[in-house]
Amino acid sequence: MTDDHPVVHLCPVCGKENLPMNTRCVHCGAEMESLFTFDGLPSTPLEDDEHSLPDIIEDIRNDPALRTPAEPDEEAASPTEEGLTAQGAGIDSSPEWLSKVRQRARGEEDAVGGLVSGINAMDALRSEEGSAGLEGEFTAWISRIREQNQQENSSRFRQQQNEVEEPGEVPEWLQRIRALRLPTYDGNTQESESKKTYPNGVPQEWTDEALMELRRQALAEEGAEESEELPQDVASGEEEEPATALGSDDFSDAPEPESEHSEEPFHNIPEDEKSAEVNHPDATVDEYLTASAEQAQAGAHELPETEEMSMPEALPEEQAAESQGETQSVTPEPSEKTADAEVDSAETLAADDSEAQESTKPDDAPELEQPRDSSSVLPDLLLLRDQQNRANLLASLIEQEGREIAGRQPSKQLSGKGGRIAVALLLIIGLVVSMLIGHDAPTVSLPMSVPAGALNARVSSLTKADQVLVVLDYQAAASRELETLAAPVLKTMRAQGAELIFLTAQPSGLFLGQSLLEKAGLSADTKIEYLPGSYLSLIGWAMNPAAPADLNPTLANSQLAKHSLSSFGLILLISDSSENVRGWLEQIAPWQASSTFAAVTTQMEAPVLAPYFDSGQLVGYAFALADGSPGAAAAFSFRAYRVGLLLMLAMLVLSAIAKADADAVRREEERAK
Amino acid sequence: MKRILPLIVGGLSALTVLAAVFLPGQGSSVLTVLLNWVIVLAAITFLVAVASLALTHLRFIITGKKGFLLSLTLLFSFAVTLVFGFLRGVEDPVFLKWIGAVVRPIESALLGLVALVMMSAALKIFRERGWSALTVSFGVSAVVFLVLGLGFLQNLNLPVLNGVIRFVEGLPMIGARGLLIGIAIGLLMMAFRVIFGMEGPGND
Amino acid sequence: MAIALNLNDQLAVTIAALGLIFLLINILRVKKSKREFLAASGKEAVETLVHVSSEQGKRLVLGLGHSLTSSGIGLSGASGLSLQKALLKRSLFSDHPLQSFAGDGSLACLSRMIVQGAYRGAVASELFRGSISQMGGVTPVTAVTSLTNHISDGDNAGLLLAGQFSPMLVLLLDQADRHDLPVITSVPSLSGQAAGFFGKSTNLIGEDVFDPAGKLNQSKAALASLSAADWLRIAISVGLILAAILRMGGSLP
Repeated sequence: MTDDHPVVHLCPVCGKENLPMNTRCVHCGAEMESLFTFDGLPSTPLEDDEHSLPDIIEDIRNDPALRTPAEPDEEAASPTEEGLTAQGAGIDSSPEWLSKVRQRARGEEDAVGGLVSGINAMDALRSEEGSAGLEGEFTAWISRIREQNQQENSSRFRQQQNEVEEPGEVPEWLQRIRALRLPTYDGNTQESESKKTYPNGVPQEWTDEALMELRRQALAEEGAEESEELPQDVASGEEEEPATALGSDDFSDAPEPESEHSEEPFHNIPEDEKSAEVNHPDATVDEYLTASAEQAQAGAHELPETEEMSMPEALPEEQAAESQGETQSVTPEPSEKTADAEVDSAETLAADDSEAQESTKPDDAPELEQPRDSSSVLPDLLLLRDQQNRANLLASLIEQEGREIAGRQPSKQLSGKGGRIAVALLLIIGLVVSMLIGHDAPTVSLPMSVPAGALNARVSSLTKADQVLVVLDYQAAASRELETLAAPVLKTMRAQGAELIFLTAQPSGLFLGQSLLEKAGLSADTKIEYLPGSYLSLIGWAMNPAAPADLNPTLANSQLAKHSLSSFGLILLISDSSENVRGWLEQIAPWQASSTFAAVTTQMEAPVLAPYFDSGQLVGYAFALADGSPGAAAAFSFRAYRVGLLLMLAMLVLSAIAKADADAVRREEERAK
Repeated sequence: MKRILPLIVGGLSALTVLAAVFLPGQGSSVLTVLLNWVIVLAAITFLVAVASLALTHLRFIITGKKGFLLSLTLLFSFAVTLVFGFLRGVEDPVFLKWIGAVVRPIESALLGLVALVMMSAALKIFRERGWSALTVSFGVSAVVFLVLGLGFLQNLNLPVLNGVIRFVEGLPMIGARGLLIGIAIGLLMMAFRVIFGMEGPGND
Repeated sequence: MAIALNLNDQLAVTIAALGLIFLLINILRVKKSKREFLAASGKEAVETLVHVSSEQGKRLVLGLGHSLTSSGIGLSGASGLSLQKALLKRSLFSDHPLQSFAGDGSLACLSRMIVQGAYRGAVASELFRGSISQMGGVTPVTAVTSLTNHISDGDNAGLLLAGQFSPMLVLLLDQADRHDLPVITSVPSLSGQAAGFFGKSTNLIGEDVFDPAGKLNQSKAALASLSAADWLRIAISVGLILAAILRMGGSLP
């Protein structure tokens, strides 16, 4: 099916055969400019294209005139070179007035704003680094591209040799396209492409671009007329399968060039094109096209997905001839062209046709699937992964307009202010009424939680000889709840005769403790010690056996002066933060082998402490309403508490019902549609 | 050097603290010194932050920025508290009573507002988050624990039921343990990144 | 020098050593482009919010929490700083750079250092403004309420809460809900994570909390630590299972 050198390039000097990846003739050493052949561009040098790429770069270097915007002669040359020239000009050249403005802006601090001055500073820093080696880097960059391209060509050549032996498998080019292509991006590309069409096919203003597109449109129509006359044996492979894939009868009525446009993406990767050529080294264009069509058909039968992407390259003979003629009109040097060049030039025109077709596509034209739009697939093939990801992100952002974004609340507020007020009123009225009815029946009693039972047992075992450190570590917001729970515990401790010493590491503990002492029936003179330095001081105190007065002279007159932390048999943490309790248990407790730890915390924080109670690091903790019993009974209105819980329960159930109802309505509507 | 020196100091300090933690006898004196340094440093940073806060709001007032009345309130409250604190001392009962009289009702009201907000959120939870494993499990567990919180089932005093209730009440501990292990692992890795200078104000 | 460690200490040292080894291995092997270590929501959430804010020309507000040295102790209070750094890099030269609020003195100073470092790194120190990193309240409640005041600003595009917050953060989330402001919460405490499950806010849980920047933080260290955390989790799980088996067999007390 193929030989070792299926596609060769003829040296323009000695006429001998060379591999396609060679940049110089292996026989005579003449330069062969096949490396920078891009799809959609003529592969052979154009008439005006007398300069090679290095020459152009050299011109940019030497000729100051080229630093101004590109001249018409340059524009008439290859677009690739034009782009490169423009880039080169863009790097080094700028209008004189702009340079002056920039210089003045840099020189005069007052002339620029803060932001601009920052940007100038960045520019200056970068330009210092970048300008010195700019030319060298550019040359090195070109060299790298050449080397990389040669390596890629070599590896692809080897891959092709392996792949051609298995014609039934998915072609490599198709795999790459599948890997690159993402539906979301395509969809958006289609949307953006559709915007290019002019209303009624006539642009509002006859710009150069519009005239060019009109010309392309004319060419496309010619192509369509000619392609309709194609013999079935040539076009069957390309026409029937996509029509089936689209599932649209309109497709068969679509202009023929559309079916060709779908083939364009596969010409956009030079390697793919060459790989296709590898299979048909010496074949004529007709043979090559027929074989390609058969191969594509076989692939399409095996893999229906290929229909989405369009068939491999195949070009009608007439159009190839037509396109050749068209290319000749652009590049009047046809005598040098090889068969490959003819195919390339034909593809160039086909690409132009496809663009023209897109831009002039009437609104009422049948819509084809996106892959048939060559320009939509083109960026897929040429973009890097990262670029494509960014494009996808942009596309998703555009898609998300008007939708919910991460964490965004729905714009549709079923219960706005009115709903909120209704809920608030319901809660307040419910609580107030439940409290006004009267105190709870004395029969209401709940069993104490297991951790609270353990705490009670530990507190009950205290004796007069025991010293208890009570740490106040909560904010005013939680003070009511915690005081209600802690007061009975403190009362019990006091009843047991244990010595209580109160400590806080937060300033707020000083005024909050007064209320707690009052509720616990303790003397108002009971002092609450404040340890500056927060938990860091506590850790220092914990790890040092000395009394805190030795560490901190300001504590010399305090109750703590004679106590080390380990002298306390029980340390009771009254805290609204499970994190702080964790801090005690994980960072202070390990230093205190002789002390035991217990806690009083809020119901919100209690679940976090469960593992520590389970492991024995906490001897017990009180958290629930019932844990404060029996002292809590008087302070709490248990009925109000229950009413609050019931209202919350009702809201949850109501929410579930409302959602289920909304879903049912939506399903009903969908079914109706 | 400007960047490496803080890195070395930070890394060495962290390693010293770690060593001291695991060598209680030998390391405690070193650790005490280090902790005292940290306490002083933390106090200074607090002062710097408070000063910065005051200056920022002062600037807001001078420039007449939108909402400068709040800034005015903040600075006034700050000044009054500061002056009274210096004059009467932070342990003066009258001073503490006044502070408590202002702070306690405000914070209690905010906590009450939390209850209200939670109720409003309960009403919207399924509509906003839809049906998913997470929302359904959340809803079911919330309902179960709300019912348990009512205490009706406990009042029945059925031994079997009490056993079931105890089992159900222990379930959150399983999730809590898993999450705590995850948080601890994340913290450990973050600590390593800080110790080895991979995480810091200026580096990338 | 003989070091007598109890069983807990031995376990702790072993786990820490394992974590360090895993981290070093992953630093050597992890490639920057790989982001499979983080939950999908975590990967995308912050990045999407950043892009949305850029598109709208508005600012993001970051709450760093209330705790580093003033109340509790723990590095978890500083978990929002890495997010601040990642976000600042992307909003430094925009009209509305990231605005952050800290509820702790040390945290506020560190946050200010990050802002200053970001401007210095961008060679634009003259643009540094301290006001974009402020201290809010100094207690858990005031840290929340001070942030609440800023939510209603029309220049806000989103709210990020990364650091220690009390469950009162639901007030913040509710306020954001009223102003149709997207919120991402990344709170290390369990009660904070539970409260973060509110409305439509995106809530990061578990160890995701320590890499809230997701895709924005592509540093090798961050990726390696995520991968190492996965390895360590597996190691701990295996250890727990082994311990359970040994205990059932009577080998462990």
